[in-house]
Amino acid sequence: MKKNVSERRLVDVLVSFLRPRNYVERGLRHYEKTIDVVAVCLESGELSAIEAKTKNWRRAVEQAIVNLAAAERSYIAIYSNFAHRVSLEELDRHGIGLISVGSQWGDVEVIKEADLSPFVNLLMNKRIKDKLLPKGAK
Amino acid sequence: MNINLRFAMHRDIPLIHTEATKIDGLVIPGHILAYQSAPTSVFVSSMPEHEYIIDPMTFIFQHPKSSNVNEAGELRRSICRMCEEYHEDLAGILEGLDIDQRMRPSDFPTLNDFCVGIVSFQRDVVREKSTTSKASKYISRYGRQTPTEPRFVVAPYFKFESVGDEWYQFSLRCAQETQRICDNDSIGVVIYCSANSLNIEAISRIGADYQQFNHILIWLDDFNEAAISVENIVEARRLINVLARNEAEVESLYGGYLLMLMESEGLNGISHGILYTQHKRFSVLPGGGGAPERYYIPKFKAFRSLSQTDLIIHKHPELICRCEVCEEVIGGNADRIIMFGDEPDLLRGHFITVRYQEAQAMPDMNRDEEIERLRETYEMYDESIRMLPNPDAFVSSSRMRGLEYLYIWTQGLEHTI
Repeated sequence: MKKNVSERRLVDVLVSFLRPRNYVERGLRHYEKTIDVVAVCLESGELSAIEAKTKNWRRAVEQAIVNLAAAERSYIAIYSNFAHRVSLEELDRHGIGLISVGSQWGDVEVIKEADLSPFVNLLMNKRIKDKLLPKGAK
Repeated sequence: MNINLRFAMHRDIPLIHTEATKIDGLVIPGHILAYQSAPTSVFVSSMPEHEYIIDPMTFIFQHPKSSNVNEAGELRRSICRMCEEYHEDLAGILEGLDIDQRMRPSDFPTLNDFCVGIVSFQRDVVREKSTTSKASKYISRYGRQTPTEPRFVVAPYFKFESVGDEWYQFSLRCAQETQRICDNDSIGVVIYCSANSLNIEAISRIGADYQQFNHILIWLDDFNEAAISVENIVEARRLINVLARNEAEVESLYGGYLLMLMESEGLNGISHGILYTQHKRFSVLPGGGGAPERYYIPKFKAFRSLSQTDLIIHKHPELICRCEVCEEVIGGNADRIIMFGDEPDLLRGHFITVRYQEAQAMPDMNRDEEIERLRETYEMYDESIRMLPNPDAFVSSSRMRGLEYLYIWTQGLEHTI
């Protein structure tokens, strides 16, 4: 039987997965909207923006498209029971990545890597990174 | 094409003063003027070069009582103050309704008394309230004071569903009575209905009934330019065309660029707020909340959220606005759009500036060429932004996406009337 899972739980699982290799913040204010999760990779310094939804992947894609102006890579994170419903073709069209997230700790799989966004606002990108990175970190 | 600013919030006053040369006049909602009479009157008096009208907001009497009371079940203070200004019995009549009940035309005080109260309020309030002791602290804040009378008195008006229904008849009687009270002074009348209520017969009847009035304001309910139909555009053009035949000055109480393009049909002016109320629907209560912070994209003739605008101008740098505000803030560098998020007043300054430029361009505009430009914009950008939700369309439950509305505009404007 399929169990329902909350968006909050998905984000918890996702953030826990990302933390060892990224500076992470959840619920980052971006103009009038909020990005569910942002993460700066410790290794590459790249910023990823992730919009999480349990089922409604199309709504997540709409939001992820807007994030292309903020982050180098933009993803949607969908509950693993529904991730197979996502159109990879649609994601390809916009260069958006897909992460499948389960309800258990560590149950996270990157199904599709996001492309590098060609539309990044460098000032906004820097502002977000400055907020995430500890003082003194490059 | 005159651009009149619909006043809503006192925090906008410094900006309005700064940008005063870019607007032609003011529309002051009656409930704001009644409730915050001293600061609003002082503000109006601080702009003597700008003619104003007072919107009597009488349509709110058509709302169910529940819309006009606070959580304690008492009349909202602005409504209560407005009632007191208009007629001593009005507040009591409203309070006496059942919570879901609405006033009927037969519930109003005698027509003459009702109209006299509304005429007196509009003629006197600014002069009387801008010189009181309460006003003095605002006088030093808003500068010089030259109280003036409104450009014309606006008759009480109500929304009708069909020509000939009781509210249509009552509005017309209010207009005629107000004209009689005002003697030879010209008055303004408001024709308030949904564009869906209009057809050739109805428009013909309205044209005949209102032919003796010199100033006609139209309010097409929820005429949301981002969610409009071809039929609604055609009926709006027909209505304006018929009303303007008798050399009446026809304006729209709310409006955006689409209505401005109806100058060819005889529209003289539009009014709207700063960043909002280019359209308004009956069920939305007056007041409540500030304007959303959003950016007017001149080429799209529409607002977009800042997050969407950031993406759009990075995808299409040629869309970066070149108005004086944007030149200073963005200077051709799309990354600097974030400055608008830091200082939302810049968004308002940008919108007022662009709207002024659009109005200035109207007299020399060839509408056929403008329609062609709108079509080109649709063809060039629709696919690119189709995935971005259009918040303006969403509020009217429209499924319209991207720039589909521009295509609808071209169809509606090219249609023979």
